[in-house]
Amino acid sequence: MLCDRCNLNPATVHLKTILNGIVEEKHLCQKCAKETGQLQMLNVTNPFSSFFETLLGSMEYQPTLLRSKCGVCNLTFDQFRRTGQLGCPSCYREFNNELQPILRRIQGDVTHRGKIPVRQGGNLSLKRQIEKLRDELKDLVKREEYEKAAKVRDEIKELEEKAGGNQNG
Amino acid sequence: MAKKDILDLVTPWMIKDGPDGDVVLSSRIRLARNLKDQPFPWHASLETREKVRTKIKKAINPEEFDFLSLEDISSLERENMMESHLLSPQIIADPAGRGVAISKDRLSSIMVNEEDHLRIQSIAPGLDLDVAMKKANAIDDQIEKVLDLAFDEKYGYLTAWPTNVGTGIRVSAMVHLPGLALTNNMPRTLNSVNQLGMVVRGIYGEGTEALGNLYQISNQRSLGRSEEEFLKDLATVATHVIGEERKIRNIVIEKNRAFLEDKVHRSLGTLKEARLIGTNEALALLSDVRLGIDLGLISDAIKPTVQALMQIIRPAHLQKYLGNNLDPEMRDYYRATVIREELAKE
Ligand SMILES: [Zn+2]
Ligand SMILES: [Zn+2]
Repeated sequence: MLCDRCNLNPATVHLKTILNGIVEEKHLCQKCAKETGQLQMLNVTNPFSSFFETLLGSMEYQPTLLRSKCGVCNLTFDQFRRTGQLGCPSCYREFNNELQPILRRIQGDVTHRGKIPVRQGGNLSLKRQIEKLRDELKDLVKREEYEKAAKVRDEIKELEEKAGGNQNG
Repeated sequence: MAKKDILDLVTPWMIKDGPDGDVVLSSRIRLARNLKDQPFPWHASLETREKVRTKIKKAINPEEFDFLSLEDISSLERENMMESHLLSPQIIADPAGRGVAISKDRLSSIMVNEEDHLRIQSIAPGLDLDVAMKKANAIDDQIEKVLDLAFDEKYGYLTAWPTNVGTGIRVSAMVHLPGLALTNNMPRTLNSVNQLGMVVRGIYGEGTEALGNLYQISNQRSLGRSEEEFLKDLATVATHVIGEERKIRNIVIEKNRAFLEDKVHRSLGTLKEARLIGTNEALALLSDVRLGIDLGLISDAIKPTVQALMQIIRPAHLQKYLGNNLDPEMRDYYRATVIREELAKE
């Protein structure tokens, strides 16, 4: 949702006033809320969304990049920069290069380490298992427990084959 | 006036005490999910939103959830559901092509086409994040069996706002902090919560006001850590805030018991006798009374009533309770009447 006042920034301040039985709703961005004195009325604001807004506003982008579109949903990068929202799931791949530094700033990380859905998770579960076993393997080799290490190595091989097979199938 | 029992009209977790119920009203887990190959709601036409809504409706078990298309219900009903935390201010601002599924026990809901296609939320009374998480997770698992969700191996669950990507989780605790507020310690508390990587919001979410000393503490990041870690972080911060609030309450009661006793009883007296009362004043007084109950200064027999009144006196609830269209000029009068009559019952 865009700000009612400037129509440029995402609305993050939602106000509702009831006057003579008429409910009036206002959706403003942080900047407009501040300018119209509405922000003082609120005891609580979210420093995180204003940080994100400020970050997007402060980034300098080439005009050609701003005009570039997501091939799936037609969202321009400029639209993303102004609204803070992406247009469709594919936007994450289409604007991957530009999103990486933004995600690093706002999320502190760029890699998902949480839940993996069963059907749409692809090989991610296997990959995580393999990663874990590789760490284990390094550890065992360091401790010169070669017999155990060989077992883990076999396990990794097996999982890798499974992952590769899944990819082809 | 067709009055109903107020305890039946409010959200069940409002009137139930959970763990740490003297400070924490409720714990909430929200999971943001989207369908693969569909534009996010804000970037979708009404037609597409309707199509997505139909798809999601089919995937939700009608034995567990009641499904509502938001344009099919009155704006009063929508407001009421917002006041009950079943809908967000964002979704009721533009109901076309959006919907909600509400669990039979009213502790879980799924907003459809809010900022994401699916916003699964589960609430538990008190500080009980694990219970809420279990429920939200079960709903998510069920949905994932039927619908193809947008998931990326690197970024996790894909969401309209990059601020929600990854786990799509928001963990929050609704807390009552009259002690910290009374002693002007809120700015310091807000600051320390922010420094611990959490944010404090108003009780209806982003940018809403904190009334009646009620606040919502929630995580801000969603990527790079597991759900369990986000839950643990919030529990740590909530426990810290609970500790601070209790410490302050004890100090005030030790140093100035008469002052506190006077304050909470004065507030109860006003609620029992006032003839005109606005929402904000009523919430502030109810907050005092709640504090008095939690400290044993006022009998806890009225706790469910006080908890229910905190919701009933909000405009849409008040209108529904009284069962007629209230003349706004008279609203403060009716609000005072409801409070007076309910408190007289005890
Ligand atoms: Zn604006
Ligand atoms: Zn796109």
